[in-house]
Amino acid sequence: MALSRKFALRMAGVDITRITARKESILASKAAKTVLQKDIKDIEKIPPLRPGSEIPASYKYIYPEFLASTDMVRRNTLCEKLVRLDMLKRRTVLSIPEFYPGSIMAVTISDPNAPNKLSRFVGICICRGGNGLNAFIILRNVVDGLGVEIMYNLYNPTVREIQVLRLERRLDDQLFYLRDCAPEHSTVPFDLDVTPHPTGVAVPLNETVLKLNPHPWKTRWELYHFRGITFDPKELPLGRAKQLEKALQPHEWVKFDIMKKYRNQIVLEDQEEMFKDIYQFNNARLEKRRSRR
Amino acid sequence: MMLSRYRKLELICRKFSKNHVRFLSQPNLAVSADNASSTLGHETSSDSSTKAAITNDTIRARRNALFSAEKTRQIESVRRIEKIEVVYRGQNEAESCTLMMNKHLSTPYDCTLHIKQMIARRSALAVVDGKPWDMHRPLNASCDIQFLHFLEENPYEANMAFWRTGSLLLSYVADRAFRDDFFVQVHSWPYQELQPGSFLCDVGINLPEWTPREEELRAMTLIMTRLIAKKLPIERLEVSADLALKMFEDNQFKKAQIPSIAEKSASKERVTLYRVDDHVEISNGPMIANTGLFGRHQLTAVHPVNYHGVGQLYRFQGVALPAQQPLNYFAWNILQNRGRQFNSSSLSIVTDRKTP
Amino acid sequence: MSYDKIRTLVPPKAWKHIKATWGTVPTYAMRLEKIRQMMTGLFRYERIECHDKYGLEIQQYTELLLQEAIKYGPRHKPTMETVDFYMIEKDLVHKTFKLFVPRFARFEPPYTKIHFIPTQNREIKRVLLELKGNPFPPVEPRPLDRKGSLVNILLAEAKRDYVRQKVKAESAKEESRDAPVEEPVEATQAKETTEAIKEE
Repeated sequence: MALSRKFALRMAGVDITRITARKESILASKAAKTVLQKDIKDIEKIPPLRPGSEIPASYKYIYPEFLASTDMVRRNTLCEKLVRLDMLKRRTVLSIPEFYPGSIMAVTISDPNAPNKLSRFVGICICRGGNGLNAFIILRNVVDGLGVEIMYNLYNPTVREIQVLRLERRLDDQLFYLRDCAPEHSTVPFDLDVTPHPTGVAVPLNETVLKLNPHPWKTRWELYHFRGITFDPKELPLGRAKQLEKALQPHEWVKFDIMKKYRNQIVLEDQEEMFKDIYQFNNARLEKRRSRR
Repeated sequence: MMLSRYRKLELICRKFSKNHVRFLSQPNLAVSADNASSTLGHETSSDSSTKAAITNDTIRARRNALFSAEKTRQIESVRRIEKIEVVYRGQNEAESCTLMMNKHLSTPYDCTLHIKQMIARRSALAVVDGKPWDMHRPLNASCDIQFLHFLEENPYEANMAFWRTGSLLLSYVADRAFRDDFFVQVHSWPYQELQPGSFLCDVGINLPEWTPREEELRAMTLIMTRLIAKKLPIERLEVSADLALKMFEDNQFKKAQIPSIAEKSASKERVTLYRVDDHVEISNGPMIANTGLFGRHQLTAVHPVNYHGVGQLYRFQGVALPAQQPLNYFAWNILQNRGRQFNSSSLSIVTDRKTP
Repeated sequence: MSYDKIRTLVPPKAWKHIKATWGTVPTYAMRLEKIRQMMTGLFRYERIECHDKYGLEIQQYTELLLQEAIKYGPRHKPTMETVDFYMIEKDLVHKTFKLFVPRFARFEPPYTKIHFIPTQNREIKRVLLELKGNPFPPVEPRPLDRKGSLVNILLAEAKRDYVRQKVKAESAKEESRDAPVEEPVEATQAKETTEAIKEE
């Protein structure tokens, strides 16, 4: 039965909006490289978001949930402002560290049914998304031979602690393909120690490329520009190999469609506005620490 | 007696209704709106009681009859219809035209009927060969014609004519508002000034001391409202000084003024008269085309005034705006309050000054 | 490439029902083709009349294109390619960089203007889209000076009166403060006016 791609994805339980459809991985993009691959010893050496602005460009990658959604139907500046203030309030109580999809993280939540009322889960962050207070992460681990993925909302008040056990980046900004890879690539021991990341050093890029299991796959991974996977096109089922070339190639005029690009981004002016709150918040914190010394 | 709001409204409505003859609660009111409720074909209050009583109504009817007779005589005196060329230059080439009209018979209003309905409806004044001209005044020679309205970039002439017509309407109101016991003689009105914020009409009434009450002012404004709603044209007629004296023999002020007015005219013995409905007045300057061009209006106040050598007159003051210029109630209230203040323009004039 | 904010109306959703011809199904390529055609027309004639949805969509594309052209200039390869794509007639590429860019460097964005045109059918909305600084006579008439209108004259006089009264009141206050003797100023003024009337 030939299912449409969208329907097939829905059946597999993957939300379409979370998969980067036919665009370059954000973290492997040129812009990200210029920002994230530099060893930043001094904060002032980070390039600014916009020429003449104080806000560093790395904020786009460290605090992506502060940006509003690109879907203009859902934009409301007042709502966004109030949500940002709420996020900052939460951040005074809970420290949300810098992390990227591919980092190994541990999240502790309050669980009434657990001993000690706390429940801790460790896993690889395969996805990071949401805007504002809806910011979420999905951690994946293999527990007793069974793959487990749990979604956590970062600003959920029941979240007690977010720890980054190993900070690293991967070639893609979504690692859902781990579902169709060998289980050892998704397994993380629950007692993994924290590998501290020295300040000022760039986030290391883990350039492992994984081989996908033989068919059937849960999703048509071949249609996306994932760099972290390999597969043999000959192993694809009949018909799909033909479609592959066509599917991977975008329409030749897409690069000229300027309004489409405009609609898929948040204008730098607005980005500055959105990052201003967290920037001032961070500065205030720094000053407090300095004044204490 | 504390009247409820509804009861007060009811009383006011009854006062203004046509069937209700006299004010029940204030029997001594000098003014009643019902005196002017039906103008033509109206049974004058003098029909039943007295013999040949000289009331305002009878005088008015007589004057009106004389005016009509003279008007028809002047029209019929045009034996041969001669043609004149009237050139109209509109906003663009398409609108401009040359009209063949009848000498001494066609008016600028007739010209607009050949051009555009919009111009016919909104024009207040015509400009013939550069001179302001009444819309219902016959054209005498081939000319250039323009039409003025109130929303132009420089509506000075139209504004002046509007203010003058306001004074004419005040004299109309003064003539009809009073009961038969009170004899009304319109004196004149001074030259138009927009600065004081109201148009005037000085009227002589044999009322020794009278300050109008709110209801009376409202009743008088209602007379104006009814006239404006009828959208009657304002007709112009040039008559000889003798006929004018005959028409105004009951008005001592006008009798004294007419000789000097006639002297100042071109042929030394013509007097310009204007008629609206059945009220005839002397005035020099152009009036606007019809009463329907009035929008907001109010008779704001009546102040007693002493004229040198004449005695005490009553100065009727009013404010009005063109129908083309609506104004919201707050700003209108400001203008009304200003119109209520005593307007002291031209108080130092002498009686035999020419009325403009 | 990051863009600056467009200073015209950007509806939340792009209008995708642009068809090349009547009766065909709109596709992605057809949509861009139609947009190209209309932008070429706009850049050539500098004022075009069209359906309102087209006009609003093309306004956005024009603003972005001009923004890019002004920001990066003809030497920047992606900009040159984009302008080359949207201008079907190639002499307009030259016109864009040599004429429009210096012209719009003087203006502040938005560089285009939309006027809604009256139509007989209320459902159909037509629009006039023009680039600023075009050589044609203006669409809207120049605003008239309304100082001479009757309403404005009367209201100006009322305002002057109000100001005069205020000034008088303040000066009266000061006088009463300086010389707190005998009669208040208002009573003397009232007397003067009544005397003036009696004289006449």
